Amino acid sequence: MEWSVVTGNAGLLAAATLNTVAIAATTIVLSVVLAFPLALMRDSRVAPLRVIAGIYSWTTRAMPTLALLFLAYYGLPELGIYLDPVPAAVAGLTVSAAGYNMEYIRAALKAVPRGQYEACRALGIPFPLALRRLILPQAMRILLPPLSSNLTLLLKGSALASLVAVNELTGQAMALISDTYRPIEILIVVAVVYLALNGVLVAVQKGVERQFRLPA
Amino acid sequence: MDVIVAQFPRFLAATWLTIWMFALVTVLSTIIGAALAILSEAAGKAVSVPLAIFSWVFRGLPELVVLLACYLALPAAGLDLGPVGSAILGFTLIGIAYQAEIFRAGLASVDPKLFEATRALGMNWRLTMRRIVFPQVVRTVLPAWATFSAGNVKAFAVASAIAVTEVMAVTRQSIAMSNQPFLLILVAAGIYAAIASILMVLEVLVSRRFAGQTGANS
Repeated sequence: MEWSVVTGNAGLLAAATLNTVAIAATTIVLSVVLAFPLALMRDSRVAPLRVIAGIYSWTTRAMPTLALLFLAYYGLPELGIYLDPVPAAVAGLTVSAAGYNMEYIRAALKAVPRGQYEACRALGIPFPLALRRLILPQAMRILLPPLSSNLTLLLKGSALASLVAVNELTGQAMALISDTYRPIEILIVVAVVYLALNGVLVAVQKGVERQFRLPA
Repeated sequence: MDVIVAQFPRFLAATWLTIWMFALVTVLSTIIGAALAILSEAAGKAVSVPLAIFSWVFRGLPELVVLLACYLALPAAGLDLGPVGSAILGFTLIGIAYQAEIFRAGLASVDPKLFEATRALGMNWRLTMRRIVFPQVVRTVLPAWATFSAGNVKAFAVASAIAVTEVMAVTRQSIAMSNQPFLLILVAAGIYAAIASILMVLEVLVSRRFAGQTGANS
């Protein structure tokens, strides 16, 4: 073992880790924000909206995430849209994750008893307010476990960004390996960083889930 | 379209490679994962603690990192499996981690009273497993197994990063030759979706069979 390849490149690896965190965090936020209206559209009374959301959900979940990343990076320029590597990676990962997130959100909204929706209507509470103050807090308890397990998948998914020329943790690792020919040391460090980030994400989840738990 | 026609034989070969790698990985990881789950149930902490750590590591790491470890780090340690061998090893390790969790949950869902009943009836462990536990576990495990496996097909696209000429690798090469990335990527996605769909149909068939056999239709 020759740990100097790690200590000597600690700065590069740290910067790459920050990139990974930034990509994962942006994707996590954007994919939930994008998934929410899609989930509402999926059960909308307006048929075209329902169809669009249905097609979106089916195609994005059927396609490999890597295919979506390539579509954003290699495919969009064909339509005259040129994205830099990082935005392309974030776009691909977000579109992919939103397809799953919208199904979890939809299932959670459906799991709130119908009577709750009817009571809101009977009390004349406008739908947006009802959603925010009454439905969502109840749906959250059902939504959080599947949603957060999908978000840890997103952290792992951010490694795919290295394949569209983003210099995040895995990409940096590949570059360092071809420079130094010390794959073992570098990959061990990278694995530890991913597992640590994963641990942080799981701890955050636990905290958030506790927030939404019913008082015993 | 010309590029698709010209590259058709390569896409076909790549699809076949993806299918047999996936089939092999699924069979291996299901058998080993199920065996480890049963073993950890039977042998207690000596197996269940290492298994939990193993499964946490391989479920926590990006597929790409696991593949790179098999493809780059193992040769440095003296074991060179080549691209396809590395991909098969990497995905099997990841698969075992998930399958073991799926089967552990399935075993845990079997009512403990049933074990007491089989003991009272004098059934030995093997018979209990085969006639009582297995038919129930298959039913509870099947949806999770199929969901994971169908999703896992798509992960095989990552193997293109370690020089395996599967569907995504051929797609990338074809993109480099032509200026039709959109079409090519959609074709590739269609191939993965088709493989995943076959699995979903298989799930319906198997679940129907097991639902019929045991009578109860839950």
